[in-house]
Amino acid sequence: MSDVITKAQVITWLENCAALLETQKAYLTELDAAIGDGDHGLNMARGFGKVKEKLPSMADASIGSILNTSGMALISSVGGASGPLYGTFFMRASTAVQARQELEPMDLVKLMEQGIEGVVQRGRAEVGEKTMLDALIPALNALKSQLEAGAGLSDALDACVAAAEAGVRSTIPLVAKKGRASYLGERSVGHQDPGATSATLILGLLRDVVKGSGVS
Amino acid sequence: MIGIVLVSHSQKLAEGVRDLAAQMTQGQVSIAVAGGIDDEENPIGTDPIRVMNAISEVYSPDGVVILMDLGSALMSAETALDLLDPEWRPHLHLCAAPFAEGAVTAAVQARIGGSAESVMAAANGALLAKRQHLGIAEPPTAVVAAPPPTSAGQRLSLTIPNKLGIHARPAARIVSLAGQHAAQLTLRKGERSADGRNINEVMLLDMRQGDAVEFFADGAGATALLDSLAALANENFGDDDTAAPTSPSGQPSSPEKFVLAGVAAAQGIAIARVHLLSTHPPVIDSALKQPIEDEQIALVMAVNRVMNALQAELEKAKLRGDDTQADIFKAHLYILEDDRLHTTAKDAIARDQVSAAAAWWAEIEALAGRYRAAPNPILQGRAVDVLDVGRRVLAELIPGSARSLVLDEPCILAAEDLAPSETSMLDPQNVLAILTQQGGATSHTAIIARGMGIPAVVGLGGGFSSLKHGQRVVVDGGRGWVYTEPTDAQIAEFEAQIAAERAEREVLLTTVREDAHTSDGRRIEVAANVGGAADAPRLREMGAEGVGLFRTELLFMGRASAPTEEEQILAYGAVAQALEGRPIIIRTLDVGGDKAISYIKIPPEENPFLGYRGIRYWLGDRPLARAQIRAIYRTSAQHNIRVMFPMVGTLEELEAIHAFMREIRAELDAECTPYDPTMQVGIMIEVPSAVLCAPQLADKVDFFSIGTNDLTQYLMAADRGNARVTPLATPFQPALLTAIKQVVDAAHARGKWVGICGEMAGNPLLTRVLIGLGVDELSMSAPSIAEVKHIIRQTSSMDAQAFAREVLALPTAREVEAQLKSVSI
Ligand SMILES: Nc1ncnc2c1ncn2[C@@H]1O[C@H](COP(=O)(O)OP(=O)(O)O)[C@@H](O)[C@H]1O
Ligand SMILES: [Mg+2]
Repeated sequence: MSDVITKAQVITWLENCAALLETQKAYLTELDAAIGDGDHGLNMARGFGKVKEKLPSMADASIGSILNTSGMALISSVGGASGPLYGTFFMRASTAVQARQELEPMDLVKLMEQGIEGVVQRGRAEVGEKTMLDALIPALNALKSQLEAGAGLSDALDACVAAAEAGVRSTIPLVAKKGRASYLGERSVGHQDPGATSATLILGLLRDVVKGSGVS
Repeated sequence: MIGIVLVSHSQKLAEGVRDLAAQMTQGQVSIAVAGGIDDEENPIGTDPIRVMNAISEVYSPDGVVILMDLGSALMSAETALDLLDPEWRPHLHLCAAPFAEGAVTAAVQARIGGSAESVMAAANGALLAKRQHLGIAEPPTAVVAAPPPTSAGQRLSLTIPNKLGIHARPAARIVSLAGQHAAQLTLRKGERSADGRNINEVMLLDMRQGDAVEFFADGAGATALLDSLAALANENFGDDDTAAPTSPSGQPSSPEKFVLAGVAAAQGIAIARVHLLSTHPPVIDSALKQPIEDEQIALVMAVNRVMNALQAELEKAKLRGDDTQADIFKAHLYILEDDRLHTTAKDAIARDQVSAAAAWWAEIEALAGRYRAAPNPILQGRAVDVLDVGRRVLAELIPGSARSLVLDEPCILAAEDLAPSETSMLDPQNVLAILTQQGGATSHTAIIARGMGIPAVVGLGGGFSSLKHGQRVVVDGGRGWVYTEPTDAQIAEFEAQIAAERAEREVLLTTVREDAHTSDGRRIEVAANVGGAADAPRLREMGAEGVGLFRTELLFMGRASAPTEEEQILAYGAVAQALEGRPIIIRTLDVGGDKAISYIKIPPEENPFLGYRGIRYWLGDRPLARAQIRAIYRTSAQHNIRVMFPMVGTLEELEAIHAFMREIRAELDAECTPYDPTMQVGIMIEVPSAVLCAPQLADKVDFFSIGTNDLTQYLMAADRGNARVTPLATPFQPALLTAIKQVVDAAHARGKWVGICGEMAGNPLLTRVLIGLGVDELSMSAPSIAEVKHIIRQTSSMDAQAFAREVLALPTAREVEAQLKSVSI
């Protein structure tokens, strides 16, 4: 495995997201039903389904334009808070990589940094408020520090996904401060955040594709 | 009138609330809904694109108030705002009011013509009536309409102590006190009174520092209420006047201290001293100095002189291809063409025994007043235009009465208002930015400032009065902010930003002469549109790789007869010379439509745009056509010349052109006059039938040049000069993009090339998609070339193709526009 992420891998990753979110629809919806309105699985499956529809026409496009188009597709199809949030993530991420056909490891860091910045601006949440950021931010930090310490992309991504997974678990005892779940206040304690869960699934797929274990 | 948008997870809820609100307002208020999502099985959710469409449905510069139900509705609405035209942003208001009550109250307030602020305030106070009914204490800032004011009961007289008077916050404090006591409160200042529980009425009373105001209270709690009001007044109505000056009341909220916020009218940053332009009203002597008839004649002549000048400016603007300016001059001409205006003024001279100047100015002010009173904001804005032309005529009657706009050193021009004609006369070297108290983003002044590249913030309102002559300020035209007391750090930061922008421009300029290729090596020819030899010398320097459209109308205008063959050869040769061997596309005379030439007699037509114009006329005027085509052929012997014909819509027309050209060639052959027999021949694609027949037409030409200005108008059946339908005539229309694609495909299938010579070609927002559609050449006004070339070099043609496919799949202009702009979200 070489230390770059190719455009083909990005496309495979997005295809895999569509497939996995379809199969995890019920699980995510169940998580959201406990503390929200029970639509997160439906939303994500619908959104990435739309992304998948766009992929065939994107074969010649750059990574930036693939991400941008995906973001727009999410914004216009998800229907829940996660639409503007994930949509903004991808659209912002696209500006970090622009016309690239391949991503170096540090490009991935930049991509995530900008994407997360977009999520923060859109949702005005911070770590500890029981949202997708509780998975995304630790994941980014782990990825960055591993790469800076000289780790290879594959190891860094392992650390990144492990941090996201720990982040998801950390949402269980939290009181939701943002999104639908915040209406529940204290009653949101004891449940895992659906958005953090989907974010972790998506990162896991990226790792799998990069390590060559993702199906094409 | 304010429009209202209802964003809900449920289409049914949104529609239900809309019905409720519509019932209260007899359907007089524009309310659009954005409910649910595009999923039949799970229709509950919110969709930013629907929000965007709903906003566009009810948008006007008056403003739109957006109410949302909950959760993702908020984020979807915010996302929609990001996707819309940034110019709309200041007029879009997200409202935190409860959905149903807020919508009904907002609609009622909008119906009575309330401002965005009052509609928002009313909506935000909408829960109060409900709380009151249920006996729950009101929140402190709530507002409610109370029974009609009464002057009975007890009275308290006060002088307003605080510096800023009763602006929003003190007004809210008064209203909230009134709400806490069982008493009716009426405020009175002079003749006017206000209901103490209605924040709008209280604010509209316009109580300023030093004003004497009376408070009447009636009811069981009257004494307690007046006591607490007296206490509030003692506390300066809660204002801290010792603190640094804040922006005055009624202003759009500024992000920080020492920043005035207005309407962002033209982008760019400027740091300089303020030059405050006085608004001295013209001094008019009303005494008659000559016999009445002479005064009347003086008036008619003054009006005529201004009309002639406007006509000339209009023609020049058209030739430059500057449709915006042209439209403005046209609007000014319309105003003067109104006979009633002169007749009434002439009658007034005789009736009132006053000077022409006095009679004229009285008429102009009356007309401007009628415009200002019009319900439609676009019409209201035209008052400025009336005063502008009015003043021009006045300046003819009283020489020297125009205000001087000549500035000795670079500065920031500040005026209560600037007339469009004044704006267009400004020297961008010395006017680094424009600030005005009045006006909106769509005023003519704002449009002209954008066209001239001068940063502008308009509509500063009350904040304007705090600007002092000579004060150093920073203007951020993109944000609509004015830093009145910039810190050194801020100045340094803005200077760095200006330097960076300048450096970027310089890089653009050094590479501008090189031919443009996409990042993956596809050549895109970037050419200039010209009107005559005068434009030519600097074209190469500005990056033109040729002339893609030589409009020959100018050669034919402003003279008594058509130019001779020899005269034309000189003119064509001069342009070709300046272009150093690069190709020049000469378009044969396109007369008719709105382009009139005195010695060419086309009988008046009801519908000149659909009449005898372009090639239709040209083919019928043999002597004129013969001289022109001979001149073009003869120039081709020496220079790289191509010819193209406007308004071709059928194969017959094209065949007639070819037959005519064969005739001329035979003539030239017989005379042994040299010419280039392989000169490329093309047609403009601007009539929709030519799009549909492009395959047949392509067989018989060397190239197409798509004239997107006319093509858009004809395709959409929408006059770009008619403000009510301009949204239809945008370059983002899917039909237009599809038409371009069809033309390109038809031409390429036959090995022919395609250019674009309308305004679209020079719009950097569209460059990528045009490359993606396969266009081979872009021809534009020269100042746009540098930026367009820069974008071409950054674009990969493969990427652009994928992008164009994406864009072509979008069903509405709004989505196309959003997609093109989304790259910079
Ligand atoms: N303000 C916010 N900032 C970041 N993430 C948020 C925010 N609000 C909600 N989320 C994330 O979105 C997820 C819910 O998504 P979804 O169910 O699709 O939307 P909705 O809450 O509108 O039904 C939450 O689990 C949370 O992770
Ligand atoms: Mg949900």
